[in-house]
Amino acid sequence: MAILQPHTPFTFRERPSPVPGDLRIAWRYALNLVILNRSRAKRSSLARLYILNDAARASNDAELLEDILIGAADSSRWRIKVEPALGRALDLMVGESLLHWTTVSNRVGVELSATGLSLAAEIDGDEEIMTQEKSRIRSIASKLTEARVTEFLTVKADHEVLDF
Amino acid sequence: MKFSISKVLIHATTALGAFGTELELQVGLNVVKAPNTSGKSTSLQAVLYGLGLERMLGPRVETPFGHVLTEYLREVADGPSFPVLASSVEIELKNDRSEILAVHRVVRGDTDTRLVRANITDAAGAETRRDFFLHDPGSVQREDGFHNYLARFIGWDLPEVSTFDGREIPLYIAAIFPMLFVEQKRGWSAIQGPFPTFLRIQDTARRVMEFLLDLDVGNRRRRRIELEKQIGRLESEWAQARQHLTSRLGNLSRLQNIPSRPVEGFSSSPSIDIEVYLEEEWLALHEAVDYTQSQVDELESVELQTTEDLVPALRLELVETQNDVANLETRVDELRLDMAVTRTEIQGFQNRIAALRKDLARNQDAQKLEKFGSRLGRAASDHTCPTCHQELDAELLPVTQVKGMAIEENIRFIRSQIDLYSASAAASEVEANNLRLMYNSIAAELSEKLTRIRQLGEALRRPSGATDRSSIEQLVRLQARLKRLESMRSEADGMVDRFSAIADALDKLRPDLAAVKSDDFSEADVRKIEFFEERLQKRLVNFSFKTFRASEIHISREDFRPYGIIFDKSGEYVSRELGFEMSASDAIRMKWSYYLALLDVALRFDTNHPGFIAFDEPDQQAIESKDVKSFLLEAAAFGSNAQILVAATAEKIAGFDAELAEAGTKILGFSGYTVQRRV
Repeated sequence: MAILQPHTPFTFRERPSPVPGDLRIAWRYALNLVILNRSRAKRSSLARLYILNDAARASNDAELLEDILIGAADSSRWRIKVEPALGRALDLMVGESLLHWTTVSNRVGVELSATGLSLAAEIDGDEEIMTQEKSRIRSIASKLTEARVTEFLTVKADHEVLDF
Repeated sequence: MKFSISKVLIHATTALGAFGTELELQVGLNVVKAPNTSGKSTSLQAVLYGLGLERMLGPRVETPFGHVLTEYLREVADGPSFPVLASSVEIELKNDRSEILAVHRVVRGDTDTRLVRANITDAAGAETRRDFFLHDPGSVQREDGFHNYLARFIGWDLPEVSTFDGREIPLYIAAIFPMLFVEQKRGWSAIQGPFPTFLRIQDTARRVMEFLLDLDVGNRRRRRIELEKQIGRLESEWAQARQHLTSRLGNLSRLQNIPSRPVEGFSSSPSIDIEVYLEEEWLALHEAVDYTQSQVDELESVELQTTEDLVPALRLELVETQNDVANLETRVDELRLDMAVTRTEIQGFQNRIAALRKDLARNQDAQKLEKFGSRLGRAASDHTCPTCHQELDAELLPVTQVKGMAIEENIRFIRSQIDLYSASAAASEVEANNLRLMYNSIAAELSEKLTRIRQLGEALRRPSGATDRSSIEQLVRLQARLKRLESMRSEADGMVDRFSAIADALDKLRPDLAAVKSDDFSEADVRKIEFFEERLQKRLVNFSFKTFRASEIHISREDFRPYGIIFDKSGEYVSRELGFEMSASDAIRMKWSYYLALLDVALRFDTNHPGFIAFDEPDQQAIESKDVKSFLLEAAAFGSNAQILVAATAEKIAGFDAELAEAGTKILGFSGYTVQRRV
């Protein structure tokens, strides 16, 4: 028994694609807001955000970063990844006036606006949202200062110092 | 009428002597009449107390009386007060089996107030004395609990109901009685009840009304719960039997046809199929037994030869067996590889499932963030760019030609993926299990062959003339295997009946369960409810209920409370709760109508309503004499079909006691306090 009669015309319709949870705009906003909320002066350089972005989203990255920050591992083990979605999310958030661009430790960075700050406080305070990510941020954000970020950006190879 | 109260006696001992009152009640309407604030309620409260039902007013209510029987009483309104030294209450009830129950309970005194002393007279006139207790846990369930006896005396088979903490308890009489007894302070504040909440019964109003009306839907629900419990017990027996069988079969065989949960039709052709892995294939147990038996027979039929004669045969066998061992060792390696591959597969599935669960959690977080709405900005809530207003269908995905799934759909998608991978992982587990069984079997065979090689080697080295030990050893081994296989078979045979019996019992219960599956009212139920509604509307008209037209009042099919359905200004039917709309006097009219309509149903149909109602007096100011008159005349109209007990202020019924008496009412009048000095 054939499933379809021969020569039956049929069409394909494009279905929406599943979107990984961490590429949802609202989710990314929330992550960035929480990270900034737990950063000194509610601001952070872009480089620091890239590092925290990875650590907040994956537990083995978070563990590695913590080891590095307490001195149990060398900073050269960390690979800084420039995730495109982070940049896109930040652009949108600036467009919404939740953040504005600024300079932090002579690098490009962002700072929470007043609206951003109140929203960040609320999301941070809601215990049902993003519990895993928040606990990772909580244990790392204060240890990863801008000074230490400079360390990550500096590569020592023998006697040569290469600045990025 | 299931029971009626024939006597109410109240005693109080004071320093000045004995006080008390005695009321002889008849079947039909009884009105306790006294001037304002003369303690008419005391007589009605004595009924509650005598029956141990003061808890229907609240869990910590010790006595429903005010000071009258507990602390002090007066002879006249502005006279001196006398401390009460001791007091008690006696009630006499009759039921429809010509039995008489006379109870005595202390209010104040040395005896425990939870003790009820009873005198029981049976239909033949024989008297027995019994003591009962109240309020201790289990008093409804235990033989010497008073409410257990009272329920049987009334002729009630109390149903089990669920509580909020997941227990099943009997529907306590204290929960039912508010529908039969309207207490002065709180009884008029709600149309149904108010029901005590400390018993933590779910859907109290619905359960009580279902019981009083004896609705099939409630009976069906209880039967369903009972059947589901029985079926649950049988299913767990089956699982235990299966567990027992697999443990007895050991690790070289697999059970083919006994699923983990019983199937229909098993008992029509009961059998237990076991498979054994023997010489590189799965054989049904009986085949394996036959095969091994034939091997044994063959060996037994061959005469024992001397080693010398056998040398060429032994040498050949040695070479063959060594070949076999080589093959088996290869097979073992293959199986090890297969097992490793399957384990990796399973691990892969589990990793995927873990990643999916993480994605699920994130999508759920995104869903929870939706409540922040537009505060998150246009990009998050409208999916448009805040600066250029372009559509952001794809969220933060890199490819812009793609439209991203909405969060709910995405969550459903992820869940279905999790199901898919979990099923695959489960299938791989089964495969891994089979591989393990085969491996065990081959390992066992390998070990046997190595032993055989050793034996052959020894036989060939042995001086000639000795009998061939090796075939004897092989025979012994085969016989041992045969014995193992046969014991498996007898184990299985022994259990077939057990499985069959369980499957049989289940097959019988399943159609019973199907018969009570539905949660709908039966036709008989619907007739009762419709009649209830009809009588309620009729009485509302008679009592001049004003809040809505009587035809707009309906009985809810959920909890049987009355509510209004009116045609509103926009031409739609809307339902209205009565609670906030009724005036105090209309609330009283509604309560009268509801309780009397319930009695109407009891008289027309078969129900559990005992045919007894009591009304303590409502707030005086709220209701006028003429309304009280219509109410009492309607109550009197029930005649000897029911017993209705009412407390009324003398002034309110002053104009029409003659009319009442003519209608057959018994008026118990007091000119002053009801509790009087006894001479």
